[in-house]
Amino acid sequence: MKWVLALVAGLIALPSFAPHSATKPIGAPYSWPTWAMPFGTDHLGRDVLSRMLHGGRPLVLTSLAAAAAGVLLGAAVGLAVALTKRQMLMWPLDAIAAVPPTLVLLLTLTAMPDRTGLVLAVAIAGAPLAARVTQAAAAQVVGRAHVEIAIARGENWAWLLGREILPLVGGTVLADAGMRFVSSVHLVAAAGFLGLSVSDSDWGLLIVEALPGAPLQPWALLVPVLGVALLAVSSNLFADRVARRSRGMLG
Amino acid sequence: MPLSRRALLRSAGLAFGTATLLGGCGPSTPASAPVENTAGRVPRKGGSLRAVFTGGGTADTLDPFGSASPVDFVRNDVLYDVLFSIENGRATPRLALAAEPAPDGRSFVLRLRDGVVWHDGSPFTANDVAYSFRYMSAPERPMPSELQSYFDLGKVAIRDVRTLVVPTRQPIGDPALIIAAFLTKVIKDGATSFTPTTAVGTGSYRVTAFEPGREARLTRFDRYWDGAGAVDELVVLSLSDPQAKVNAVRTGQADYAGDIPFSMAKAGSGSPDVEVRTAGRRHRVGFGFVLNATIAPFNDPRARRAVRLAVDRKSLVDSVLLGYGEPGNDLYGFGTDHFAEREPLRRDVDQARKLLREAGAEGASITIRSTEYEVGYNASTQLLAEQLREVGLKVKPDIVGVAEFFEPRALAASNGVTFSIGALPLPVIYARLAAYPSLALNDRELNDAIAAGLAAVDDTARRRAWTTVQDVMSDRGNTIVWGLADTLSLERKAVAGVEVRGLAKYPYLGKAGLA
Amino acid sequence: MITRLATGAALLAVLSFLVFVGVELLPGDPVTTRLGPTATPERVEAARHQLGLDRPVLVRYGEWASGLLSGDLGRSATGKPVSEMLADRVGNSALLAGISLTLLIPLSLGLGLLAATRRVVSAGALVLASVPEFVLAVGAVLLFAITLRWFPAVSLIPAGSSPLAHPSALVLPVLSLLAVGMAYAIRVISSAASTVLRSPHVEFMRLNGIPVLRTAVIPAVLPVAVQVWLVTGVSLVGGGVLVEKVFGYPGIGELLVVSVQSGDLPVVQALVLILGGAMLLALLLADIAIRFLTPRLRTAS
Repeated sequence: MKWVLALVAGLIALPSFAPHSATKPIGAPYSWPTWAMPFGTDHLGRDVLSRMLHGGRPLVLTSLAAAAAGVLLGAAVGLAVALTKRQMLMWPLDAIAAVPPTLVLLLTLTAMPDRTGLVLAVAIAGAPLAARVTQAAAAQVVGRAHVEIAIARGENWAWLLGREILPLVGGTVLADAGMRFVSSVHLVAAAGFLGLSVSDSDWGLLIVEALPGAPLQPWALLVPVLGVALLAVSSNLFADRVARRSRGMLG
Repeated sequence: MPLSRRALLRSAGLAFGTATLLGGCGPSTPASAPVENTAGRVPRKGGSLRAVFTGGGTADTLDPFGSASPVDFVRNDVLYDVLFSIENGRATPRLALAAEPAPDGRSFVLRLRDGVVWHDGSPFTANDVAYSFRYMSAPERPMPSELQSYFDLGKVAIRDVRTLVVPTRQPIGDPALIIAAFLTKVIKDGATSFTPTTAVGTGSYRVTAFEPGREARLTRFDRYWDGAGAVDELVVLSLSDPQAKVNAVRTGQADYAGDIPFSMAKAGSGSPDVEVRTAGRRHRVGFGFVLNATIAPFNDPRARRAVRLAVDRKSLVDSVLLGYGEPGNDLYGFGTDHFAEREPLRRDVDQARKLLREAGAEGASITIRSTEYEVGYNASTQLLAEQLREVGLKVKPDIVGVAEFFEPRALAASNGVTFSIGALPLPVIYARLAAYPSLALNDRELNDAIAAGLAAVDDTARRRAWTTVQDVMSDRGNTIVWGLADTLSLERKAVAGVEVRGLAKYPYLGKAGLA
Repeated sequence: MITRLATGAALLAVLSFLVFVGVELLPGDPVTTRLGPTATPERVEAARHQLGLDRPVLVRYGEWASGLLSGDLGRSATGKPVSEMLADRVGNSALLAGISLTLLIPLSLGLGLLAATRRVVSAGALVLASVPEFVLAVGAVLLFAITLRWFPAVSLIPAGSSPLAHPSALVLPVLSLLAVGMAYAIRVISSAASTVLRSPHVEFMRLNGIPVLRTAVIPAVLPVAVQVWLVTGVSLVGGGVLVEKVFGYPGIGELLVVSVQSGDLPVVQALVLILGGAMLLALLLADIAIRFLTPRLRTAS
């Protein structure tokens, strides 16, 4: 559990340890690994290791920001629906949920081809699911005796949310946030595949750039693929763990 | 001299699908040099040839004036004939025999070939040509032909069944070259739709089945005036992903894949009976940037020259073109008539810094607009940014989608754009650069020389005019052609008879087959 | 039930509005796309008027929406009717998704139940879920088409015939889609199954020698599974964007990428709406299925 957080923190801190610039060529394109550049160079002769180290931070931060924004928006709507019992509030999100995430990404990034657009796209794609999950969890809680009593006491909404509902729903929301993070990582990578990358060393971009030359220098492809997979597996495990805990709490 | 988007698409070799996979680079010399295409073996009669090109999905069309993607250009080039085609940088007679300018230059006489028949068996006449002129330039068409800005196509007179008189809007010394440059395809008098049943041309193949975004099946037309083609059936396949094109040939699903990315060429043919081929040095495409000379800092010729001195051409050729090419000399139009073969400027970082200082552009922030029209555009922009950083220019690559690249307002606000043109005649190249105010160089000497080059009837005068044009561009021009890139294809070794008429990206398959 | 249908219709209306406005915001002007960048301002203005683009967004949305109701999807930037351009493509994508789903249902149920008790299977699903889908597709091409030469690398379907007539061209796209949908389905089903397996009454049944799988686990898992299958089925159509691109499969995913890149907005609007509408329908069906499969809900209504 802790090591997942350490991994994320590490990825954010790592660019400081990169031996080279992410953008400046240091050797011939598609050079094989040597001691000085353990993963070789990419299609422009840039150090793959340095690009990985530089690229971890934008990937993690973008995915974190997008997951957080999506979960916050979704949780807010989900809670509102659960508390007010007005399903209509969910409609705009339901309508968005109907559009496949890759599509949301393609459209948003075509309109706003920058990091804000990417965060927005991934957040929009994730919010509906977060809203559903939160609503489901909150609906169970709202029906409970202690909450009904609190409502009967005439407590205000803020108190209700803060004291009675959030502590019980929090675990579920956090577990969902883990899932959102995983799909964010994949969507950020997919953006690169569709030619819509917004940073100069996102891992997704690294994968895409390495694909055509994979037979020439497979490390340039394998390293970012493994990086994305590792990050996703860790986050999935993290989400599972949190989910199991929160189930215990609710059950 | 306006140009339509279609002409731009064709000349820039716009390939929608290539936008997704950044082309790669590699060690400075190709592992195995590509085989030159023109080592012509004669294809044998019969069989079928399957060729795959980048397509535009369901937008693919049999309308010869609506072509927008490589697969459209290649397919429609064998279905329909042009009046003149470009071969070796000059106009070559096809359906027309000659275009003779009147002494005053205000009109020309167009003489047509005898004995040409349409796919439906009817004879080809001057009426068809007059109709085609009207059809392609009708203002209500989606993309009316830019030929209209040179010739008054509404006032074409038919003198007899083989002769027309065409009025010009400005003196044109070599009307055949202009006609050739703008792909003047001829359709049948009265044709309005282009479905597999109604698309009738005079070309060496006729269409039997067509599915946009998938394939066209073409059958040999045995009454073709220039000698029937080799294979019985030509299948032109449309794919949007460059890797898919390459995979199709590697696994034997196709015989020929046109215009493949450098990195995939570098990765090898992947099969003993498949090889990477090049169209040859003469057909190399000029890769470069056009600086916006209408706003600071590049409205100062010293700042423009500084960039030309700061570019490391060798490193760009090695990385972006993966060694499949050579350094360029900042002039577009390599391989065509009257092109000035000068030595490229040598890299001189100190001189570049000095010029920037004099121009007051030291440490200036500039944006270069790029999109992956051609594999390598974006990579070249990223590398340029690194190279210009060494002379103290802060470059921000502005990488956008293909659909919005030519948005006029955004172009006008950028300090430079990525740009490439293949071996097209110089009049076409300079018309293209003049089509956008922010890409044009507003220079009286230059514009006078371009007009003189266009009007000149004899070759000496033409050469003089185009030399002046290129002197101006070498002295204070706004184009930086850092490299000349090979056009590569992946082919089964048996493929023979593929010709280049115009641009190597859109080869002529009417004579192609398997040896 | 009627309220659910009404909600579905309302959602479709909301969706169509979001799609129309959202796609309008994309860069690329339909007029300059049509006329080329060198058209004179008067020509641009005339074309804008001719295409009705000078009127307010709401009016144009109204016309577009009423056109939709009569089955008219408008005209593409290339001048072709959109419905004509989409006809075959929608069928091809649905075919791909349909075959994948048919295989996915038994496989994901079996593996999902297995994953609830076998760590190896759940770990496998976890890894599968962690690799981006386009990497899976590219990997499949490298292994099965380029190296082993078992199946074609590219789905080239001859003009005038259906992909169904060329089953070998379908194998790799289906495999890739299956892998994409499978990872998610297995994880959800196994999570539902393990919850049931841990519950006291199942423990009790097991101790008494009653076969729990058929009597307790499957009935409990089924409502969740059906929802997952329906949603996955539709997302396979749209999620196939990347897979279709890798294989050059003539479906709507490939068309969508090309249309966004070339700025053909009417095609994009139609495609997004079709995909979204299909998803809404799937959600509706899922709700109905859950009602029938869950006794408590069935009696309640």
